Amino acid sequence: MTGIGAYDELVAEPQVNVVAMAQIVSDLFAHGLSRVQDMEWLHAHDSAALLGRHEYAALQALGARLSDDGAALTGVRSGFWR
Amino acid sequence: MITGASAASDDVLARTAIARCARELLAAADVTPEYRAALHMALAMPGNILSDAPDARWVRLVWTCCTAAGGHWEQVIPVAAAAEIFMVALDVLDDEEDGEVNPLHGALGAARALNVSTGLLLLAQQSLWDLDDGATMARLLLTAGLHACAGQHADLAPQSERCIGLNAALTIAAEKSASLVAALCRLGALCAGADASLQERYGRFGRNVGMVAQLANDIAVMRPDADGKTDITLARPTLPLTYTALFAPDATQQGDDAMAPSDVWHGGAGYLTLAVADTYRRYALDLIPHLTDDHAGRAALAALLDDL
Repeated sequence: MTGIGAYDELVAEPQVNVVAMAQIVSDLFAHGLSRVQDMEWLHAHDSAALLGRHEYAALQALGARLSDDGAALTGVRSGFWR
Repeated sequence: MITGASAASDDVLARTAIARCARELLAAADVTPEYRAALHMALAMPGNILSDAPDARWVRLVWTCCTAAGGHWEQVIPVAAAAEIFMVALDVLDDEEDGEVNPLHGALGAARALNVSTGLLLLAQQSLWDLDDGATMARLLLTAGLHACAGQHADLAPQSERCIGLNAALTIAAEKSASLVAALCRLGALCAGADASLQERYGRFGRNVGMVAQLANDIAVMRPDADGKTDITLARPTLPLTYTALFAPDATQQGDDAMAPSDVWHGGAGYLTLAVADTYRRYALDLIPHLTDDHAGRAALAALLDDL
């Protein structure tokens, strides 16, 4: 089909490194939620090198949307990513 | 080009046509009027296709993937009706297994609710077997259903038998939910006449969508206003609760008292689960250019993720 992007490069099924992500989140909360928006902190974390680009971007994007008060998460409703 | 207004119109038309087909399948079933009424009651539970306000969350996947793959939504009607019946049957089972009360259980009790679920599973299979490619479609749903049962089996295991781990939690989510969504997306592509390779891509897209949906659900039941959900009280091995057990154990050590949702949130479980869900969302978005070259089709596939 013309126009559909090359698929070969995507054949490998992605594996989300949830352990590395959890370690980062755990340390993040241990250090206080003011770190949520501190991207340098995320970049410097030991486990950051283990993240794929989407995992890293997801942590970064979520941090950018949160207030320092983690309670903002409890307001999650459908369409959160819209 | 499909406009937003015509897409919304197609949505209503498709839902209406699928509901009509489901009614016809029920009417044609060789069962007693009493049992037919019970089957109808299940399909009319809130959000289901015969309810006053169907959310069409399952069948929308089928018709959206069909239209994105070059088909027309009318091609999926009998398949989507069978898929809806199949998914309602599994929902009834899920509620019974989790001890969650739904209107069907309230009206009929556990034993007859289980019997209604069995009937719906059989009706879905019977409906598919009457179609061209019915055997292939039935096999797709049955295979996905078996994966879902395996995931549910792990999900329901007593705590003493569980292998606690974050990857295990994701595997359970993949088995019990993502496998089903993958099958629905693949069915849509099959209805459009997609070849095996393209069907596989739609299935893969669906697996990622299914992971987002399951993780979003795991987050939603952590909300203080999530009535009747038993994830926390039964300490299900969902990602947020597994993370909490491993990384914020103080929240789980409160004697006989169940964790409060706020304990789960403040330990970071909500943050992690949202981030993991967003990762799967990004994988799904990556796949869309490999599914269709049609701009409207790509937008419709992306919108499936927005609705979760």
